[in-house]
Amino acid sequence: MNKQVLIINITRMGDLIQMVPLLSRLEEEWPGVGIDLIVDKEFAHVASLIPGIRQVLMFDFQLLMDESRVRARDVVALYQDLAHWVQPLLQVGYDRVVNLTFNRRSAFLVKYFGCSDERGMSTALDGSFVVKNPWMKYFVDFHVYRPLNRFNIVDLLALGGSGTGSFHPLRLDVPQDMQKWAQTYVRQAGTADEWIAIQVGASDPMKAWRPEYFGQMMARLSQQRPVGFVLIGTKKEEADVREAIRCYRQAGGLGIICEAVGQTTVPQLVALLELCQLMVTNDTGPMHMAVGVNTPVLNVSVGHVNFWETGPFGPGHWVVQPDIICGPCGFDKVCPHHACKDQILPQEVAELCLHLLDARPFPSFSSKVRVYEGGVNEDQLGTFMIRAGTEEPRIAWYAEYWRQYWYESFTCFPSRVPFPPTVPPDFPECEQVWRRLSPQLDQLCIHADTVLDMCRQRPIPVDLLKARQHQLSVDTLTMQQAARPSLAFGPLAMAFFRDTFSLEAATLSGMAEENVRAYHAFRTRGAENYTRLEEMCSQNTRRALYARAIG
Amino acid sequence: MTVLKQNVGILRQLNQVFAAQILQAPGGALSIQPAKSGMPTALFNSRYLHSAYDPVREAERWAEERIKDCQAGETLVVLGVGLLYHVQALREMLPHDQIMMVVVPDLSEFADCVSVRSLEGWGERVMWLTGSMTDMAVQVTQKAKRVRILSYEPAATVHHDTYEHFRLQLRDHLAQQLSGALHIMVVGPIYGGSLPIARYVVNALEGLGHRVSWVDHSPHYAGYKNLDTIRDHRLRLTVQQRMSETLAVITLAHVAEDPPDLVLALSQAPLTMAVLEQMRRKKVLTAMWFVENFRHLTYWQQMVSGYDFWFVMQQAACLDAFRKAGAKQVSYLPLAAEPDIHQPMTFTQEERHEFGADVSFLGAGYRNRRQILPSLVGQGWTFKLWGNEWDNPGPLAPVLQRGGARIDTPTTVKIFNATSVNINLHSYTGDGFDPEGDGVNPRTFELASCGAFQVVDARTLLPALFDESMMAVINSPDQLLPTVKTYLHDPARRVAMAGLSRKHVLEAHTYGHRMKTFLGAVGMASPDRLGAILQGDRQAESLVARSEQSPELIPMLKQFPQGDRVELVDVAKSIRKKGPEARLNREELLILMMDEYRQEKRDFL
Repeated sequence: MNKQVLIINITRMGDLIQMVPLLSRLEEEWPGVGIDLIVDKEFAHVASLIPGIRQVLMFDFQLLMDESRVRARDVVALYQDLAHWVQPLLQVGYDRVVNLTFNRRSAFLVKYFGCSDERGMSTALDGSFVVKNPWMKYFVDFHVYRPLNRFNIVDLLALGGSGTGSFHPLRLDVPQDMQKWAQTYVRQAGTADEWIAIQVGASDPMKAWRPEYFGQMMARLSQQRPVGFVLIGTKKEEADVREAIRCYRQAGGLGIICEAVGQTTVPQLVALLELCQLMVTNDTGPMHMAVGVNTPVLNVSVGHVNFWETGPFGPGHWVVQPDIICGPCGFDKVCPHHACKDQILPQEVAELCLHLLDARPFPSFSSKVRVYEGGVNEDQLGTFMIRAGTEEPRIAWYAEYWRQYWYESFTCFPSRVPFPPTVPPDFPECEQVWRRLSPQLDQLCIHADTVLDMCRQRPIPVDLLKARQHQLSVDTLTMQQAARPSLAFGPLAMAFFRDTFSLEAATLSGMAEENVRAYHAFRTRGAENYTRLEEMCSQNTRRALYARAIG
Repeated sequence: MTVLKQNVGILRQLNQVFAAQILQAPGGALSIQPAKSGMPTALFNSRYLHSAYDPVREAERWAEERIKDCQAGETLVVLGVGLLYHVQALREMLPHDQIMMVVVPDLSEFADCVSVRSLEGWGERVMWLTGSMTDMAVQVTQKAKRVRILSYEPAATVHHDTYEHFRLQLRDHLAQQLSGALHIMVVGPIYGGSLPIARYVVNALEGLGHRVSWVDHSPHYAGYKNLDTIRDHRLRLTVQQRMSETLAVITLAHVAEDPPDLVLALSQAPLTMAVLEQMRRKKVLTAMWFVENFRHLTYWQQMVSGYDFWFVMQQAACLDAFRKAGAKQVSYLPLAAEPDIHQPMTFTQEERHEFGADVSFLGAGYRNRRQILPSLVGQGWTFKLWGNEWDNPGPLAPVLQRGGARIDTPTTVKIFNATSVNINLHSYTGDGFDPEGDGVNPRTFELASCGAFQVVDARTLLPALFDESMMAVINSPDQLLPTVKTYLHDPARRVAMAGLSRKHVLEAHTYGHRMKTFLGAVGMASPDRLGAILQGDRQAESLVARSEQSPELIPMLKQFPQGDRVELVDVAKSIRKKGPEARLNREELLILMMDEYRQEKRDFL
């Protein structure tokens, strides 16, 4: 019998599209797999465009939220609605439940199915939260060392929900009648040799390039080439789009404008994007749609967006990112200046567009930006190659180092991506940190073992245990404070932290055992990591000596 | 056998007295004609009560629309008789066990109906209510907990006033039965006359056992007042508007943090349409008690669609105006007094000297008061004028106290109590008494509550609230002077009248009474939600009774004491209390999942 997988991906349009490669990967893992998707009613129309789903199971979670908060209905009525919807799904007998909605609500839903193979957020038997699968754990807290992350979320979902495999791009089905509709729709605006889709707005103004820059960029582009622009977005973004058009006219824009803001259904929008030769956009759901229909994307990556996480996936797409010390900023940042947006010049974006339309050689850029081209690496994962600008060498080195480390650690396969033969840029500092950290970790492992022994004693020496646990917490904190600032050991401290906060055992001694495993794992990983860095250094020294010896 | 005989037979099975009354009813209230479809239709005063083409289809459509809102367990009370096509259609669509009642205000109309329309097959399953409005309200409340009123307007309009009376009776009877407690968020103004009323409302609701969150915007008054330093009028207005908008968003944040069952705003509460619309999107129910004269302050017209329930202190023209403007639910709710604040008191010698007078007036310097009150000056008695907005007081200058400063509530109580004859003139921007004067001001209730004697100008709604044994009512300005003279020289009568007025306030006109009426009204207008909560349908035992289809919930619900209101949050809390050794079952997981949804707040703002 074919395997059956349930994916829970409730809340966002972009997230739904980004899980497409996971579906392909599951098919690769289990040919003929039946995949069902739980989604909020609001996004069911997006799900209908995604190939490879057997059944879209929609529920009005927004209504549940609204009604439960204001107690519009009593607990019995609320429960009966939900239970009536979900109970029949138990009969399916899923082989795997993959939770791509990283919140606590969905965790309970995962546990409800009682499946032996859970991926992503779930709960332990007592209802406390756990994250299953190392990739999914990584997903939860990679933002702590955000500049070091080199995995696109699309890959994290596919690796976490399935495993390694060949590269699969984002892919959406465009209904034929919608393709015809899109052609008729743009024809009403006029004729153009090429259509460029423009998304001026974004779900959060922080991550939107300024509307006037979009207008100026479009004007510059239209003066060089007979293109037309299809302006897309939601009703809420209308004011920004109006501003972009005003600036476009003011800057002498010559091309036709086809305004589709707030006027399309999702299938219509996808068809419009498919018809375009290029899309220039902030980081948005429609950006992923364009990628899904093979339309090249130029992503202007500003504010708190980090394109390494959510940028356009795969080859053929480009990103322009400001080189600014505060960017990408934190999600909870209230920014008084939005200066990152001013570093990206409209004329440079226009020139890059011309290059992408095969009209110009690759342009030169100011030193205030970095330009990346999307691609696929040797591990069959999405990546970006820098084409203009520079990256901070220490960050770049460690980002690549940790990419390789986590890949190998989580998959148990060697990475095929060649690692640059350079030494860790701050090895002396690493050595110092490890000299401090190593004895601390040894001591912590002994303490954790002692706590476990106490948990196994009958009767449990409660007071003594409490005192030991308290001491263990204090010492752990001290150790973490030492490890965290280090790019060489901080990510391991984070992984340790994640392990100790995702305990699945239901008994005191069981939890203590898991804790002990986490401490020992940290010590082992730390030692291995140090050896690895040391070897890199010594190899490099040997190489240098050899090079000197042979003249 | 004729239709009438057959119908009377059916009715006799239900109610012998009613059947006999129908036989004796003269009939002739309706004019019966055949509709195009061949079925009989009816006219009243030349107006069709049912379709002239196909009354059956019309009634089905009416019933289909109404049944969408009806919930299991509700008792449906239909207003409007006509030829009962709508009643039949609804009865046939309803589950067999759902109780349906029809208010019959006119036996002749009903007799006309049952002469041409057979009740067989459906009329047996209807409770026909007759008698006085009070009797009918009692019949409903004896048999039903959750009541939904459905009005068939073409026929109900014929007896509009009677049905209004029935509604009020029913509301008051339901209010007496309320056992469930709500969480009500009261939103007050930044300042002004409705601010103390907001406080009284909070006290009254708490006194009735409800949980009240008060969003008190008065701490923002200093900041708001400070905007007066912006001299340019337009700039100042713009900034004031922005500040009000911010306060509205602050209110929304409070709602998000601790969502109430109902938001009750008092007039001038800084809630914008945008925020009210957001609340509606988030299914928050909102009510406004508009304690202003609707003719003078007209901003309600822009806000009318924003609130689910409106309460106003005027009747007739006011109710019509609100309904025409689009108010879904609007009810008359007069002002009241807070007897813990406005009460009789004794004085020290100094206080009596400061606040005492033969005659006093306390209030703002409206045009009609400036015109009428000078007649009280120089009459050989002591006359004191208290209150603000008395710039350029003219002949009133010698009697104006404290230089026209605003008078706080404790001082007000002292003035009322220390005065022999309190003058209570309702404000008016014209000359003399307001010719359209209907609503009764708070001062009327407050003076009465203090046991203080008052001379008050006539208001059309006053007789329904107080009678002339409780206060002296004058119909024109020229009656003021002789009335004051008369009562000033008759202290025993004054004391007796004032005593009666206080007794009457305590019996019928406290904010506690008003809030009971208010809750009865919102409960009746929202039977499946507020009504259900107020009637105790969210109490543990009621929930257990409704858990037949999901027996797995019963053990969880049975943990709660009878009479406790139990909501999702409570059940979730009881699960979480189990601690780390627990093994949660599937239903517990679903409850916790729903509770996580309940806790989400970000989408409110």
